[in-house]
Formats: sequence, C-alpha cells, structure tokens
Amino acid sequence: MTVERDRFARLCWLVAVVVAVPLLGVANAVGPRPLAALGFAANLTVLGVAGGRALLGRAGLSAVERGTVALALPIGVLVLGTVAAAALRLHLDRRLWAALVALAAEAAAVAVLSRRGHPGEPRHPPSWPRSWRTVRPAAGRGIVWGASLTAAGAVLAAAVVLSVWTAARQAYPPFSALSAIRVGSAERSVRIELTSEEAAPTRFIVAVAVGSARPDSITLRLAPGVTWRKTVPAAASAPVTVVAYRGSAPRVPYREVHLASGGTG
Amino acid sequence: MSQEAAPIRLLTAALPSWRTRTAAPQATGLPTPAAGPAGGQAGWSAAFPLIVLLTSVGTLAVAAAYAAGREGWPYLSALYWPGQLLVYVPIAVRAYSPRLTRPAEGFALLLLLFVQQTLLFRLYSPLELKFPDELQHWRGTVNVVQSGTLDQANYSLPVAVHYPGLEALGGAVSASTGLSVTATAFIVAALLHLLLACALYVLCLRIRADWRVATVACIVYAASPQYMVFDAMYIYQSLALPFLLLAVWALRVLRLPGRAAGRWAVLLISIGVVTVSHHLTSFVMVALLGSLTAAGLCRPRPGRELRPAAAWLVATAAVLAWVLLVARDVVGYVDPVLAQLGDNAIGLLHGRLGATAPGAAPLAEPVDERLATIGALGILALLVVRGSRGLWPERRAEPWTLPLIGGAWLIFVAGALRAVASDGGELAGRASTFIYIPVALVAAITLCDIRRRGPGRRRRRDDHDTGLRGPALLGGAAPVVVAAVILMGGVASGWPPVWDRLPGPYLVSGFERSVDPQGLAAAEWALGALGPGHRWAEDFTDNSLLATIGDQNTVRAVGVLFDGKGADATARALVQYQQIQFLAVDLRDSMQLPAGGAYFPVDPNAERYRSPLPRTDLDAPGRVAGVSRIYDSGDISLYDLRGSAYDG
Repeated sequence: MTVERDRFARLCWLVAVVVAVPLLGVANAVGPRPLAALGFAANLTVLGVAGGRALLGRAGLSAVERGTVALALPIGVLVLGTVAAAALRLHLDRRLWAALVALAAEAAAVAVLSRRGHPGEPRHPPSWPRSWRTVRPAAGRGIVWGASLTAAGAVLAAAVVLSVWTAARQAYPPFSALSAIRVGSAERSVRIELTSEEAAPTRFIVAVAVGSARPDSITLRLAPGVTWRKTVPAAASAPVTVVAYRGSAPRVPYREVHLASGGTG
Repeated sequence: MSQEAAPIRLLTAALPSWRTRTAAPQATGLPTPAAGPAGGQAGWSAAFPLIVLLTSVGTLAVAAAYAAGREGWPYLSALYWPGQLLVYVPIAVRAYSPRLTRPAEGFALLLLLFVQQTLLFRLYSPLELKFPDELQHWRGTVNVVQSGTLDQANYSLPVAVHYPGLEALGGAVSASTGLSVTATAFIVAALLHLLLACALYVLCLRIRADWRVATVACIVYAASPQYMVFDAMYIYQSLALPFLLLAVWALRVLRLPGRAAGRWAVLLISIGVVTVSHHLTSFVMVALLGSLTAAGLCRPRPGRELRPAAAWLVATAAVLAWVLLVARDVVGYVDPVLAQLGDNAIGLLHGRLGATAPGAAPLAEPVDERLATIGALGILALLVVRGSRGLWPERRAEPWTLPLIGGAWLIFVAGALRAVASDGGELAGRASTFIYIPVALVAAITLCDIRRRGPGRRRRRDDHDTGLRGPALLGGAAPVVVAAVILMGGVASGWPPVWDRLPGPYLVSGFERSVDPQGLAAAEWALGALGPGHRWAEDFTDNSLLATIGDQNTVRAVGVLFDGKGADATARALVQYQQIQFLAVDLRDSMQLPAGGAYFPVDPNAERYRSPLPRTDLDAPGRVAGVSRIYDSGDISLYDLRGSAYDG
C-alpha cells in the first residue's frame, strides 16, 4: 500500500488517459492554436509521467528523480524522434510532431496500464493531505508565509515590469534607411525603399536620377516605422543614383545610394 | 543514526524509495517526504519565505541595474553586485546551515535559485534574443520550422546542422504551439536549465546518498562561471549537458535491483540525445564513461563493474558513427581550437605566458573582479584538496571515487589554462561547465564535512558560557564571505565580460551590446530584398546579424577589404576566392575601439588596435569602380561588389 499521491494507480484514470491521448493528439495536429498547444502540452505530460513510470517504476526512486525523468523523457523523445523522422525524409511539421508525441504517450500509458498491480506498483490512490504536510508552513507561521510570498511575488513582478518597460523604450539613435536594387526580368527597373525609424513623423525629399536624365523628386512624409516603396524603370546599362533629403535640411543629402551601370545590384 | 551522519556509499546500492524508507527515513540521507525535526509533523519555518523575499529583492536590484544601463541612470547601476549577492548568498547560507533539516526545503532552495537566476539572465534582454550564440540557434530553429527539414544550411553555425537536437526540439515546440521561435527559445532554454539543475541534483544524490551534499553541490555549481548565463542560453550545449548528467545517473541507478531494461532505455536515450545535440559534450561523455569504465574494471574481480564498460562502448560507437557518417565537418570546427592550444603550448615552451603571449587579451577586468576570480578558484581548490584527502580512503570501496577526485582536480587545469593560454579565460570558462560538476560535488562533500565537524556547532552551545561570541560571529560570517567570493568569482570570470554586464548603448564588436535596431534593420533588409545565402564580407557585429537574422553566407576573414586600399590585388584575390558578392560597412567602426578586441570575426590584429579604423578606409569600397551602394542607413552601408573592380 502506498501513502503517496498517485493518480496512475487508479484504473479509471489510466483508461481515461489511454482514451484521451489520441484525442489530444488529433487536437494537436489539426485543432486551432490554443487547443493544439493544450493537446501538445498534455500529451507531453502524459509521455513524461507515464513513460517514466513504465521505464523505471516507482520503487527505489525519489520524487525528484521521477520528476526529472518526467521532464527529460518528452524532450528526449522529441529530439530523437525528430532526428529519426528527418533521416526517413519525412516532412517535419505540426502533424508529424503531434503523431510522434501522441504515439509515444499512448504507448507509455498502455505500458503503465498493463503493468498495473505488478510488484512495486501501487494499487491504491494516495491521501493528498499527507503529501501537503511536507510543504505546509509551521503552525502560526502562515501569516509570515503569506505576507512574504505575496511581497516576493510583487517584487518579482516589479522586476519584470521594470525590465520589459525599459527594454521596450530603450533609446537608440533614430535613423532612416534608403535602398535601391535592380529587379524584374533583365533588371529593367529599380526598386527604391525608404524606411523611417526617426523619432517623429518626418518629411523627406527623394531624388531619383537615372543615367544622365534630370532627377525626379518625390516629397513624402513618413511616420516612424513606415516604409515607402517605389519602382522606377531603369535600364541595366544606366547608372542610378537615389538621394534622400530630410525635411529639416533639404540641401544636405541625408541618405544616398547608387547603382553602377551594368552592375547587378 | 543522526541526520548528520556520514553518507553511505552505494556499493550494491539499493536506495530505498520514499515509500519504503519511511521506517528509517534518515538512514541514507535521501529525501523523505515528511522528514523533519519533529518526525515530519511540524511545518516549515519562516526562513524559506523570507529567503524568497530577500532573493526577489536581489532580482529587483539587478533589474534596476539593467534599467539603469539602458536609461543611463548613473547610480542605480551600482545595484548589480548587491543584487547578485542578495540572490545567491541567502540561499547558499541557508543550504549550508544546520537549521536546514528538510530535504524538500533544500530542493526548494535549488528551485528558487533556478527561478531567480533564470530571471536575472532573461531580464537582460526580456523582449528579444541578443546573445550571438542564441541567435545562431534561433536561425537554425526558424530554418527547421520553415523548411520542414533538419538539413537546411545554417550559415551562422554550419556545424549545428549536424547536431540538430536543439533545433528539432525548438521546431517541434514552436510548430506545435504556434509560439514564435523567440518565445519558444525562452521557454525551452528555461526548461533545459531546470532539467540541468534537477539532473545535477539527482546525480549528486545518487553518488553520495546525502541530500545535503547534493543541495550544496548544486548551489556551488550554480556559481560556476558559465552556469548563470552561457548554460542558460538557447544553445545546443544547454540540451546536451543535462542529458550527459542523466546518462551518468541512469548508469548509477543500474546498480539498483529490478527494471534494468527501463534504466538501460533511459541511458540509451540520454546517450542518443547527447550524441545528436552537441559535439563537445558528446566527446566529454565518451571520456567520462571511459573513466568510469576504467575505474570499474580496475577493481578486483568480485566487485568488478561491467555496466560502465557497456555504456562506454555504446556511447563511443554512437559518437564515432555520428561523427564519421553525419558530422564530418566537426573536425574542421574544433581544429582551430586545438591548433590554438598547440600554439599556446609552444608559446609556453618559449616562456610566453597568458597575457604575454601573442594575441593575448589584455587584463581589462577591474582589480576587485580579478581578486574575486582568484579567490573563488582558491577556495574551490582548497575544498577540492581537502575533499580529495577525505575521499581517498574510499577509493577501494567505491569505484567512482577516483574519477570523481580526478575530475575535481581538473580545476587546477582550468586555473592553469587561465594563466597559460592566450585566450585562457574563455577556454577555462568553457571547460568550467564540465569541470565544475565534480568540483562542486567534492567541494560540497568538504563543506558538509566541515559543517558537521566544525567548531561552530559546539561553540553555539557554549557561547554564553565562554564568552566566545566574537569568534562565533566570525565563524557565522565565514559561509557568507565564502558564498559571496565564490559567486563574485564565478560572475567575474564568466559571461558577459565587465563592459557587457549591463545592457546599454551600442558598442562596436560588443556582442549583445552591438545588437541595435540599425543593425537588425540592415540584416532584415538583406534577407527580404536579396534572399538568403549570398556571400558577404562584414565586420564582427554584421557577421553575427547577417548570418542569423539575415540568413546570409558570411565570410569571416575579411580584414583586407577594410584596409583602405580598395580593389588591390589582395582584396581582389579574396573576393574572387571566397566568391564574395556583398560588403557591409559600419561607420561606427571608425568611432570606437572594438569592445571585444577584434573588428572582424577572424582578425589578425585582435587586441592590438590602438585607434579605431580610419573613416577613409571604411569609405574606400564606395569609391571602387563598379561598386554599387545599395543600402544606406547612415552608419551602415551595404555594397554590391558583383561586376565591380573587386570582381574583375
């Protein structure tokens, strides 16, 4: 008789797990994302717990050891299963991984079911309060525990918020990026892009000169994070120069790119 | 037998389970669910939640220092060290304290340390991956998710394609949950770090059968140079390392009666995961199992152990087969490191030590950090020496004793590497991941032995009678000082280096400090506009970003393209030989010296720069006939060399 908490000792639990694993696998393979993630996590858990039980049993191992194996086993199965699938030239996608995890979890659950009642395997469910006694606060210390853990949670939350907040707003020098590359069949046109990462909406003048022709000027205003694109015709034999001026200094080239004649740029 | 009793070796070793151990819960020192001073009926004291609070304050202090680095607040950055110490020292002192009587609380302390240290690491960059090694595996995982295969080239770390364990795991999690690869990397790395802590604990528990030793060993290891950052990253070693420990653990539990097939299965899975995940760890696995095999076979016949030999044969066959059939390029990958070690050995024969060797990094660490590093090494070395003396008599009874002592003595090799090799700090740091495992265990055995025998316990009873409060206080302060020095030494000698320890403004060749929006934008543009796999020449930072974010095939030894001589014969030869198509130039290289010592991934002038690269040299490629400047973001210019004088 065991005194430990052991859901797997119950036949109804085991049967429920054996039935649920394929359904969770299907949800993982074809279900909507949150459901798929849930199915994936649930089957990994079954694989870890049941797989560890099937391979090692419970006798002789501490709870930490069983927990470690339960954490390691799904990782090992995923890694080795994926490498094996790749060696078999199978396409690695969500369905394959769902099938792999579900098959392994089902095999583990069935193995545990088949070993139920063997020597070293508990038959009766445990008493939960007995387990709880190992981690409960000493008598009269509940308030200290509650207050300390609550305060610690608040402090950790503050640490996370502070880091996320300052990382999100970390100031880097603003910039804008101008680019030009030849595109299209026989590279008969040039695609120009101007991305603004300035601190505020900014006015730009973009001058495009193809060969010896007079430059065309385009005036635009870009908000931060916005990209302006334009494709202009230009023979591969013609050099192209694109200059961007910023609104605050319209006579000083702010960014400049050029494509050499006959180049492939 | 008291709880403090000397641990029992596991010779034939049936370790009773919690269930069967209830009759004699303290006989082996293994954890029992309800073990405690009052027979398990009393609950935990208030110490644990107060430690949780204290360590959380430490995490907040470090987070404030990080924020100060980002925002340029001058004074708050000083909170970094107090915060680190607040996280580590209370846990270490509690684990060492005789007041810790519950194995569950000891393990809870380890979990608490894991949570806090994981937060300390991730809060450095909580929104994106910035560490170059993590970016390499981010690229590999993206490739797996996008291509559905494991063999798509990863230009940032070509050898990783042949060690795809981490990418397989990350790809499976990302594709199955719909999480971004970045979020997946955060979660997977944290789980693997947790697995490492648990695997180390259970292994130490099996080897010594003393939960106090296991707890202290894990806490000592948690202060090793690479544990807090490098081993917590989303990198292939982080996957292989816990499975290496699990393989040894599985080998150990094979001594238990019954269920041998299942334990062999765990052992084989662990060997398999290590083999397909990380080259260096797989070599260490072969060496480690080999040493256990030798120790087992050297015993007289009745007690001779054959299981390690079988495990070693399997591991050796697996690693050899993998290297010969799949990862043939690993030899080329490790060859430069071996060549460098050879050069260092030759330099040593010529009397050139460490920083005086050619190409050696200058000793740029602050004096206090250097002292902490030396102090930590010294303390651990002393503990190892004393622990080895204590363990030596057990060598006949327990075959793993000699490999344990031998492994722990490698700490002197790590110390020597630091002094002898030109980049000894990095080599010693990398080696410390493995060396510190036996070091931590032997140090923990010694510490627990000192605490058991130490005068502190006797003194406590006699304080009031003898008036020895002063010495008692001193004795009480010793664990605090030792824990602080070990932690500071570990942090100071690990990653990141002192100039990189806090996030902050852009630094040239500053690893994670060089990852900024402008560099990321250029790399993303290269991938989007040009497609993957083009040949690029670039500086150190652009090499990392273009190869990972940009998925470009970068060339590493490209300094001659930045010497201001334009398309001279040397430059033309390099471009044509390496089939370089594009060139990335970052004008900020003319404004700062490289923080990491080198402007280029392979830089013969590393550590010798006295001034930044001249601006005219960086502008030179734009003046070469036929070169197109296709991208300009102010600091970063991208050039197309195809059809230019470089190419002709």
